[in-house]
Amino acid sequence: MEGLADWLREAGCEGPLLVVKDGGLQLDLDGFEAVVVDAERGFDAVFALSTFHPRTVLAVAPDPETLQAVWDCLSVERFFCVGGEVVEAPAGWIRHGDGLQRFWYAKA
Amino acid sequence: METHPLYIGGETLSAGTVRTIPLPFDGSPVAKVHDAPADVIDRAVTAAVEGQKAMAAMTNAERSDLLFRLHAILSSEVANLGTLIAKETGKPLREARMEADRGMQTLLNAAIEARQLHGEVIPIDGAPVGAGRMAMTVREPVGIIAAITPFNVPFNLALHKIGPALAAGNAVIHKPAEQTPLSAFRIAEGLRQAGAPAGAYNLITGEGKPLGEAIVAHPGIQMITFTGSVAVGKWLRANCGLKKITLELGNASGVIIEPDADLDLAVARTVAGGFANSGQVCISIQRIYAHESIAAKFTEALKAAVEKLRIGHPLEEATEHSSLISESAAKRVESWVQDSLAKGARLVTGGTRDYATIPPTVLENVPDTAKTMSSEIFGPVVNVNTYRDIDDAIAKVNNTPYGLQAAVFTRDFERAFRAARKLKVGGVILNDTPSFRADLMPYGGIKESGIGREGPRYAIEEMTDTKVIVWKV
Repeated sequence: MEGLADWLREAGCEGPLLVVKDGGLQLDLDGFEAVVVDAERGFDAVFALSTFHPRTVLAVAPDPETLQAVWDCLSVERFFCVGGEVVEAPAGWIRHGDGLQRFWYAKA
Repeated sequence: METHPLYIGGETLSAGTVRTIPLPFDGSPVAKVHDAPADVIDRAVTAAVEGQKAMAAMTNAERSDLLFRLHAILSSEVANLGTLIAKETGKPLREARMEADRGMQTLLNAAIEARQLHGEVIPIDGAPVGAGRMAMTVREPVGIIAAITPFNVPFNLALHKIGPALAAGNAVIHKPAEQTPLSAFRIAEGLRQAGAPAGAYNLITGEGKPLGEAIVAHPGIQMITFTGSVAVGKWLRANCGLKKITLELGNASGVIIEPDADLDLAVARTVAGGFANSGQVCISIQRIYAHESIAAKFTEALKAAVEKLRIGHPLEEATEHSSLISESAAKRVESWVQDSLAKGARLVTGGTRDYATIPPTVLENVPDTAKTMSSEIFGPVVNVNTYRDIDDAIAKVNNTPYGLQAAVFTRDFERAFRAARKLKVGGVILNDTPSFRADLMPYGGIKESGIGREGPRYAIEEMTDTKVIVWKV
């Protein structure tokens, strides 16, 4: 997934990142400290959020369950989404960016 | 080529001379590491004192979560870990990946056990002086643990010490084998990313003798946990004073194959249990006692099966059998095979050497005085001898200074359990190879195979002290 690191920097992301994704997809995270948890190996978002307590999350094509888990996680302040559907941010969150493939949310 | 620094107190440190780690298969360079000077141990202890305070201050749940985070981090790169393990050990990629996956099981169980750390209520009024009192025990971390780990399973056997030590609230000073320190750097980085307190895990690479001498002599280290050779284990125990110590040492694993055994199963499991990692496994099959009525058939089938193993470069996907840890190790194994042949053994297959690689080797009719029978060979060599009576076979399996694990193949329930009770070992495996090990089970030997048990739950018992609290009510 090319240009991802540049997009994250432009969006003001500083890391470290907790990355939630399915297996196989290669991500360009050059320059970012990231812990990648891979659903294919049994680490879903709920597990990852509850053990890592991240401030910044990057999710690749998150499903509704993952989205809800991130919204509900108290430690998360910024949430970057790639490849998913645009959804309305819940109360307390503001969505940034209007691209169809890359957008991010911050706590209000 | 990357040069790996030491990791002390949450920071990297370059100290000592730089050495190249070769791929054992052909000697080509893989990475560079530091051979730390002995005085680095003192620096590591200073860092570990702070790390241990932080670990002990954490709750069971917090230590468990730390290990779950490490598990998640390392799991997401388990394929790369497999390649790294193959490069440093020379074991085939498929076995190295298996080791990486097993390491994840070890960590998972350590994380689970961290939540279970508990003492017990003592019925103290069972003694006359206990009237009007209550008592309980708590498990407390021993403090700073020096973990000295071997070359053959560098990742998983390191996690068997690091996981339980941290789960119990200790700090660790890790000295991996000088030949295979590379996967330990991934553990260090994983622990950093997981948020381990500075000094909770410290990684010192270098030569065994000077660092080992510094470890046994340092008053700030409360426990040594060692996996390796009998000779080094004895030296550590003789020199460590009143430090706690657990030793996972060698074996010359014995297997009994009864006439009613499933021979196809016995052959298949002998191939796996005798030649995986070129036999460089503490519980690798070394001495097979096959009943005289089926021995010829078994040996013939074993020969056919091992000759099908694909020998090659460890990083090629198809390779099933590759090199030992070094050319000198292979030369030693070759000389031991020659010793057995000179003493009257018959070569069934194998026995040659190409640099550090020895093909799967089967000997039969091997006298007890031959080195391949009497000492731990740590190479891809299996001896097949015969017996007439199972009690005689049990006596032969027991006729060794070692006592780690043994196995029996039979369909007879009564004989299986009679043998299991009579075998003088730490573990008996029925209808499988003695090299079977699930990472949660108690694992360890008697006699010269060692002291203490591993497996996260059991290692935590070793790595904690019992404190009793008595109060008058």
